Amino acid sequence: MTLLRRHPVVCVVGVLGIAFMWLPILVVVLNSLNGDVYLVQWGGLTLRWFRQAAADQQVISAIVTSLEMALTTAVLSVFVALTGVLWWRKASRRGRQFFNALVYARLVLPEVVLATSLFLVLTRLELPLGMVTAVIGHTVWDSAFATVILQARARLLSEEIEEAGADLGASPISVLFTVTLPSLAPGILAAGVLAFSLSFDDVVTSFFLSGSRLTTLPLLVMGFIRFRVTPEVNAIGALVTSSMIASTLFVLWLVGRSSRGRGSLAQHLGL
Amino acid sequence: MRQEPRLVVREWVQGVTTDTGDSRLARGRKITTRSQHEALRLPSARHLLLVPTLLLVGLFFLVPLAFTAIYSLGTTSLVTFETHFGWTLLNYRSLADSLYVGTILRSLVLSAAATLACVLIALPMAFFIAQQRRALQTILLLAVIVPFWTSFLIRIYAWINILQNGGPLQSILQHMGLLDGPLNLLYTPFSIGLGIVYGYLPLMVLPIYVALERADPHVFEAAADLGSRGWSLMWNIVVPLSKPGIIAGCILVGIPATGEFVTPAILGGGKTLMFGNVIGSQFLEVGNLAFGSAMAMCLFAVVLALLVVQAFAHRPGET
Repeated sequence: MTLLRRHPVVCVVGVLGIAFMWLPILVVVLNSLNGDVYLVQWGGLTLRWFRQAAADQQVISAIVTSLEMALTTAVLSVFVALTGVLWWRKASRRGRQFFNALVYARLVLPEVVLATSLFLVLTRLELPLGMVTAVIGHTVWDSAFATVILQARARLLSEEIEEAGADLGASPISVLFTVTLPSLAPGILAAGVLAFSLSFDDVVTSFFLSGSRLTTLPLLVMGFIRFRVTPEVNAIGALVTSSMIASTLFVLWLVGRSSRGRGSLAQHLGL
Repeated sequence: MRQEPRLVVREWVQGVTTDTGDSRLARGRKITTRSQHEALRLPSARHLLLVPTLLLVGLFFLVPLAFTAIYSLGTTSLVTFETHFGWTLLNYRSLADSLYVGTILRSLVLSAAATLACVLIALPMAFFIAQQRRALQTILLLAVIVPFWTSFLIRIYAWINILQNGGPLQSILQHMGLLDGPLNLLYTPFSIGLGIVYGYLPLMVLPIYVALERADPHVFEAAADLGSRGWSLMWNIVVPLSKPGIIAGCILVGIPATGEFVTPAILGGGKTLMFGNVIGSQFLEVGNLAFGSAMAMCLFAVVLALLVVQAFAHRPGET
């Protein structure tokens, strides 16, 4: 075992592989601080690109649109996922299989197919494309991810405590609110953050369903980089990436803290 | 903030009974209060909980898919952009004849190659992580997962910075004397493949890691004691043990790679398109909804085929 652990190929690929995950993110962050306009060499430290992005009205309104969309999507996704998981927990074997099929079908269908299919229906119904249609598209997709995260959390929950509550005369509603939901809370938050970030970062569904007048941040970035690489995009990228890393670490810390060693990291991720 | 469930029970026990509040008491009473216990299951009202999921999936998932299936059998006039519904396989037939078939096949090969590259990189990575001390394992695993949960768009975009002519990769290669002229890697099938590998690698590392973590560590020691070294150990012990992980990873990577839209749009520079982008352009640029729907059904069929293959591949491994 030790022989293979120290095997040069395993070590080199292992270390390089992890470096490979971080390298592009590092380049974006460094270039967002790079004073050189053409980004071909290091032109000294600057915050110029951040100021430029913050002064760009297009960028600001796109950020606001994206935040609105992601927040609505996250709330709806958590609602759908939570009600679904509460049903799933007490369902029969058949019921569970049926529920899982509803979840996994959404996860495996390519996003392009879902987006174009929704596009067909919504335009056929002559609904104007915009915030509402985009949120619908995002929720179909993101609530499936939220459900998987919540299911993982619910699996770690023992039913005994709930049964004890019921045995002691608590009504089902009060068991739900005083036992089940507080125990699921870290999972609910994790599912919400995941749905939020998936929606905030989404290109495909927004591309087909947000219509021509609504521009989310990812769509704006797509438009920027279609023509050229601008230092401004690096500044936006650095901001988005660092805030997403912060929120991910926060959720992992929260889930890890509340479970106190019950279940591995992989279990929490629903693997 | 969050209340420890056991404490909640303890409070109840103290409130309901005059006892000291041992939660074992609650468990003891289980048999006598069956009816109350059943109340938790609320036979009919409980099913209302499924309504949001059913509505969402029914209205905005199944109905749209059925629409696509119906559209794919109709015809869209490219003059009036109106679709006439009929029961014709015309779209599927012209798909097989058209110029697109080459593009689509090439894009499927590219997805498969990227998935294979993911396996080759992820296997030693997962093994490397699984062999470390517990605390270090968690840190390394986080180092793989955290980038994955940041913006996919920005992570793919980052490669433009690295690969573009005059970018850092070109300067490094030129300094090392490995390259004379410009790099010319950006906006090629290679750069798309690289983007896909980079984008989805964590989805391959995680399941392989989980499979290896579940394996008995003594197996590796026993194999080493019996003289298995290096490649032989890798090939005879590590690969078979991580097989369920590899299969799961191939599905997790292969499916999004097949329908990939963002990576070719950014790193393909409009030159090299993949299946997803061809479908998208039929809907938004050409306006041939019926033909686009037929393509979408084909992509759907490819994904279903992958899942069927996976179901068969997984069977012997399960006991």
